[in-house]
Amino acid sequence: MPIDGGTVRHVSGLARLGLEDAEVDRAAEQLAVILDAVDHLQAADIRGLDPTLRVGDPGTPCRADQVEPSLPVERALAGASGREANLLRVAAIQ
Amino acid sequence: MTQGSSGRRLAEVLSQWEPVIGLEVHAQLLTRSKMFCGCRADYAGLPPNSNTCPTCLGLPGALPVANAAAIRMTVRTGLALQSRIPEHSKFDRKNYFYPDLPKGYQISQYDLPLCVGGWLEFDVGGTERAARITRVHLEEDAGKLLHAGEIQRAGFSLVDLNRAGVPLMEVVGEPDLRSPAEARAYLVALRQLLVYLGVNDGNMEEGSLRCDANISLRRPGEESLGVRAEVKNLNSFRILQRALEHEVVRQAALLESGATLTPETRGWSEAEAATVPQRGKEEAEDYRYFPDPDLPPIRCDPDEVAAIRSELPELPRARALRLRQQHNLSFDEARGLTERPGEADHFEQLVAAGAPPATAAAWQLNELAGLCQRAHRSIETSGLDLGQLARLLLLVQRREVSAATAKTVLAQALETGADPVGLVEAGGLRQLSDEGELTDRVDQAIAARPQAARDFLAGNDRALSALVGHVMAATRGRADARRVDELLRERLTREGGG
Amino acid sequence: MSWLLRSLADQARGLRRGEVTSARLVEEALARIAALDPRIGAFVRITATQARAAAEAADRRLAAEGDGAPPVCGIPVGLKDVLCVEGVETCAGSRILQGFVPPYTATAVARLTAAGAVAVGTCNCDEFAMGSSTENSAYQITRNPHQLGRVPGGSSGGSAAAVAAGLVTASLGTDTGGSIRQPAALCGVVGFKPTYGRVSRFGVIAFASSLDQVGPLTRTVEDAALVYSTIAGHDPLDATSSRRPVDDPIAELALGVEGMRLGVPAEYVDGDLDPGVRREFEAACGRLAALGARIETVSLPSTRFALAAYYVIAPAEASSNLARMDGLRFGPGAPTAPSLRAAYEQARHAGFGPEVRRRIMLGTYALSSGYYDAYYRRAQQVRTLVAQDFGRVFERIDAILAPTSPTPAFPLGSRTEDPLAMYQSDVLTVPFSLAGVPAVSLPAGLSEGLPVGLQIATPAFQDARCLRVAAAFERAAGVAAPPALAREPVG
Repeated sequence: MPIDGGTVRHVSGLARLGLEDAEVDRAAEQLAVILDAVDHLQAADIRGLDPTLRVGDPGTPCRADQVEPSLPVERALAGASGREANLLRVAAIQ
Repeated sequence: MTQGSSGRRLAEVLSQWEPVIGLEVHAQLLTRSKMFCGCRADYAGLPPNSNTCPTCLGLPGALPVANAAAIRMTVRTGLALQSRIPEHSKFDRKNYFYPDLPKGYQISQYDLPLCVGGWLEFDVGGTERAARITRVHLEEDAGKLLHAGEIQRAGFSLVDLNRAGVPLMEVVGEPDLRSPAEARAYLVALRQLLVYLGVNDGNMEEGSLRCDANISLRRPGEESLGVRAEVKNLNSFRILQRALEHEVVRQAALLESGATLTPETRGWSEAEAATVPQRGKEEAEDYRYFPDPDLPPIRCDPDEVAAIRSELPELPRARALRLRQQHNLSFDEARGLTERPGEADHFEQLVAAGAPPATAAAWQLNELAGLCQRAHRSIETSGLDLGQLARLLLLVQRREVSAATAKTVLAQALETGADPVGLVEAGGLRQLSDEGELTDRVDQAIAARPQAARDFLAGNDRALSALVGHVMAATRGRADARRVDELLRERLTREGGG
Repeated sequence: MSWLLRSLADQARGLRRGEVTSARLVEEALARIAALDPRIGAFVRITATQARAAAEAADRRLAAEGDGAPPVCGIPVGLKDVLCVEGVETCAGSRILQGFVPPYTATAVARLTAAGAVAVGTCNCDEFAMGSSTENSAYQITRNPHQLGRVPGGSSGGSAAAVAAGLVTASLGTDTGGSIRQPAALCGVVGFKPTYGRVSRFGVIAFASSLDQVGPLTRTVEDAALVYSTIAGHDPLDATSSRRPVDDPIAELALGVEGMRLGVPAEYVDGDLDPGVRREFEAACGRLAALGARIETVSLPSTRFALAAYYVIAPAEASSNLARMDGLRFGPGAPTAPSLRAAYEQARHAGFGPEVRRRIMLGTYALSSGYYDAYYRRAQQVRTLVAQDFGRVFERIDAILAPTSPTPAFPLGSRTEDPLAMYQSDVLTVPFSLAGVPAVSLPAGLSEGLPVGLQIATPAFQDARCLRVAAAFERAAGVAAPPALAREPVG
């Protein structure tokens, strides 16, 4: 499966990876090699098979609707890269 | 935009174009805790970022576990909308980056929602209508972004994650609505239903109920759909209707000028009284939905669904119909009394306590509603004793207490908690119904206000109210105003003619 | 011989007989780390102060409870850098989590320490557990204690090397596609990946949620069983955690394999195998046959698609799991970026290493519009196919035998430039991960001086049976000798 620079840029953009121009070509090459290997999947006969949605036990484990203690603000924001009073401060959305 | 030239333009457009409207309504569920963690679902008034935990902060390693009550509430809503509840459902991840979305994805439902299909009945202009429901699904709310000024121009944004992870139910409607007024009526009915079901507080102002609309135009009789615009954040009935009216006129103008529409996202600008384009995202949206591997698929056991169905309350339309038939009320009265479940309960309890239904209906909808509003209370929390209130309304119905007196004692009762009937007795406020005394009072009023009497005789019917007012004042409201009116007319016309 | 080179079970007996104290075990561990780890690089962080306090508490508990104290009480352990520990920096081998101090502890760790085990430090791993050589850590590489020029395997390479070198008695790792078993094989220790859902994932920094599983790395099978039974069981904080009661693996360890039917998948031995690996694997099969097991050839035809399915599913889930690493709430971030978009991109570009970026791109691509059906959906269908293969085989077979890794430890740097060659390291471990079944790797001899692993897998929730077969083999083959480096006298 060939993969071009445009696709790599698109994917890098979706994932906010900030790939630099110099990195795009190399990434395209590597992804092409991996996708080529992965394309082997197309040979599998999967007619009529459901995708696996879970492994392990059946059943729907849910929680009871109970309030548990929240974190103190100081701990919640302990690692924040920007703060203003009790709010998380982030760069302009543009 | 319902008056003046713009109103005429709207009417003209609506005669030539058919709007095709569908609503997507998001409702925060009235659970105690969030959708996937134990933080509070009710974050009102909490200091910013004080209602978070590793799960809703999206810290590495923290995991979601679904709130069973939120799933039940969604199924309950689906059942009330006649939806099908498939046995198998699942949560999916909707991936995108935004600072109010801590995990970088929203847990939502993509191709297997909890509820499929159904319809909502509503009234518009006295006509019964129904619109189909596409689906009802469950997801998590995002946090709140705060900006100084407009988002595009702000130098930075501030994030409060108290709301992140609150259970959010989305009711997606089919594009079955054919006018802005219908869209409004649909939303009114849906809001009422959700409040009845106890799944949402109906508070659009606070954003616990939010609405987006899809709208396109086509020529009447056409089958295919036009190019639609999505109008976001229409968070009041008024804004919904105004924005859609504006959009109808805007799209019609473009179509009539021969322009080609492109699908777009718009918002309502109160300042411009218009819908305005919302800034497009940099890439085409590609949310990369896939089943959330942290949350095993949901199985809605048919027995559990049946149990939820059996617990459904009487829904507003059924209740209104029953009240009309049971108590011989008008359509408007029945609808008014059933607007909120608490009001309807209050009415039924009042009747059960002995109040005459017609009087109880009229008083609850008018005087009592007004008095409670002034006292900043709701009917249900008025603090009035239902038995005492019922006895008072019985006296009103029997015309032993005048409406004016009843209002006065009710106001006092609301303030002090006193028994209103006790206030009537203590103040000797039973209605003056002695014909002899009433006639004397009427004659005194005519003598005291000769000009008003002359005006009335000269054909000014309104002058009579001054004379009625005089009698009511002189009797401290105890006189039967209706009888006073009758006696005044009798005396004046006899004198004038005689 | 150092206490640290004895089994956990031996140490536990010594602690109860008063022959040793937890304080002494921990001091010995700290001394061995100080002396040997500069050459190995198994640990990224040592928590000596907390460890000494925990050892004292464990000694008090042992004095008070004696034989009633949990078997792991007082035992020094290492924790893979993806397991959150409250108050201890946890980075998953990534720069993007530098400075991240979780306000909570992973359930598996909490259970281990509640039972009195003493965490002495954090073990190095590939960044976000993505790798098969522990060369992808942003902090350091880890070397194989058997030959320092070779990789320890990965991604739990630090956990495996630490046990192999006797720096700790046991460690916890995580296994997504082989990340416990493959380094255990390459370092000559026991590594057990329990059934998916058997051990809570709460507090485990996720790589691929539908595959990740926590498990022990130890010197003996019994030790693995002791650690496993301490950490296994339902956790209400993990919706994928099973509610079934945990079978007691200890009771079954001695039962042996006589009369058991053990299957060798033809597809696993037909492929490219290092001659030494093949030789030791065949010898292991012979040994089990001598113990009375029936060895049969079985077929798992979808195996040939398993690796491809894995390299779609795991990166896809990872691309989403790692979206929370945005530098806003934790991690170094990009506080001076001019725009939000730039802040995300700067933080993530600087924070992720090349392999993680590669897998995020691969996963994002596999989920993106137009490719979802051909990649992600199809891979999950293939996963169903793989699980059906196992279901069929397990109808008449009690356990599956396979080599753990096609080769012994490879030289450092030999596969870093060739992602596909690196991915091939997982070819024999990935199918069991996709099926969610338990699998253990234990030492089965040497190939040119390097350890070779024997892999044993059983049906889901037959974890005890898996360890039983391993224990039978270990009794016959003997516990593997520690590497020469571990036998050097320490300070």
